[in-house]
Amino acid sequence: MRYEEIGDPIEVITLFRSGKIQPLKFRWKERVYRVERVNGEWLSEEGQTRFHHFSVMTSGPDVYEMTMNTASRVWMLSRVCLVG
Amino acid sequence: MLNPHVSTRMRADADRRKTQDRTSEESSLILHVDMDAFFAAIEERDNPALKGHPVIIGGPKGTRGVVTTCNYVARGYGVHSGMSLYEAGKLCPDGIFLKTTGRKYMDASIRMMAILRQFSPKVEPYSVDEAFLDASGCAWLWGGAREYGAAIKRTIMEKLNLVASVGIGPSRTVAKIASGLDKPDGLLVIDAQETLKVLGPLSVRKIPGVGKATEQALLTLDIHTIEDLIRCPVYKLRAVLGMAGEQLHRTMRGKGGDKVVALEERPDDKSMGHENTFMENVIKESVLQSCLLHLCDKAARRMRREQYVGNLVTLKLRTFDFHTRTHQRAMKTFTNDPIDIYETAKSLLRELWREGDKSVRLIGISVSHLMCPSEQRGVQDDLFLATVRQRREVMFTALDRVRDRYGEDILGFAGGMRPLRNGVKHMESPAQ
Repeated sequence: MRYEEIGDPIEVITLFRSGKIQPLKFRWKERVYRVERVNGEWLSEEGQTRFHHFSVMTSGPDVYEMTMNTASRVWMLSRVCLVG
Repeated sequence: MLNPHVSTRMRADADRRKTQDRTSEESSLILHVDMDAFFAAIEERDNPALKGHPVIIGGPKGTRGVVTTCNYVARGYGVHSGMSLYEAGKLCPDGIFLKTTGRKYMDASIRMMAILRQFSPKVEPYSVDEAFLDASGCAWLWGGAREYGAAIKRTIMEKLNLVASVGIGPSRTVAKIASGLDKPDGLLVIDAQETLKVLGPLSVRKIPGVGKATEQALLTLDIHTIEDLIRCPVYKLRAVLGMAGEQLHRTMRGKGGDKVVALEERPDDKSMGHENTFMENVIKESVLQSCLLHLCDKAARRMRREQYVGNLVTLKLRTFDFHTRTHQRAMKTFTNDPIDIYETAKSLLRELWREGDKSVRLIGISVSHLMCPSEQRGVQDDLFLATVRQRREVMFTALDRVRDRYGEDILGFAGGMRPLRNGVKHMESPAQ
């Protein structure tokens, strides 16, 4: 198991419902990943900019940490934990 | 002479007040909610693959710094909070070492406290992962103390997917001991009448706040266990520990005396400051000074945000051999100006340390004798410096606005940035 810092911008299909944000799919390096499970989520702030962080799993055992910048509305893949 | 009717009424009032006090003490019901291996549990929640592995939070294996926390698997290897990462790496070579993600843990802490406030109006956060609740008036709504504690545990699990241990007792101290006795995933209720039976055989060191020094003092009275403490006459405890001995006795007899104080009822902070642990020991004065400037800036920023001024500056210095020294000096005026604080701190640094002395591992600064705006009226400022200060005040107000909007690191003193440019990394933590 190892963690890798990524920092790549990604495209995300997101569901906004009942005040909650739920990432459904994301595209990273031309590959589309379907989010099967959201393990955890948390908020952070830098000045007035708020970041939503999600720890998600796709079909495999790896864990992806993705971050949404609410000011720029840009998603980023921050970190991956390679388990397999 | 008092009118006999008035004096009778006064006596009756006094008796009623006494009865009310006694009743409120006797019916006190305090909960201590303590998250189990909080930071490690959050990491496990966010990465289920970590479950079953020894997880150690604090930083990469073998680096400087200490273990912030670890999960129960790692504890089985002898790893514990406060141990150096190097030592933890030796005890648990296969451990998974993760850096501390403060913002993630803080967010979970905020959510946890919000859940607790749904259960009681009186919640006292005790640390990032534990809190006291006064359930004296609310437990019956849930069918009793045990059911109330279980509902809190269940809600935390449902909303945060994290495990909490809950201790319930007639005082904060008893509740805190109770939560620690049944970890992890514990729920222990100790009635006032049961305090002696359950806690009696335990060592006095189990009592929060009883460290080596207090233990030694108690040993002079042949007190080893909580039962010995409870059975000891109060005057003897007072003789060796002063008022603290009396308080300890009262608390351990389940007579309350240590109430839950909600955040909004808390007295103001006594000091504000920050400290740095360097990744590599520092031998250059210029590096220490620039770090100091950065820390003074951060402390002053906090003071301005909470509208405090202070006048007592304390410098803390820890050398490579873990020898810690502090030195303090009062400034001429009460201020939250980082330049004033820095100038005082710099002179304290010169008194404590010179280039060529032992290398420095940690440096910290704090400002105390804090006053809030309502207390500031009537304090005479230095007339000669007033204009300079007013101009700087305008500058810092502008600086605060920029930081509020874009984040803390967007602007700062050029001199305060130097340690980072020179590649001397450091870990910062707020200091009270």
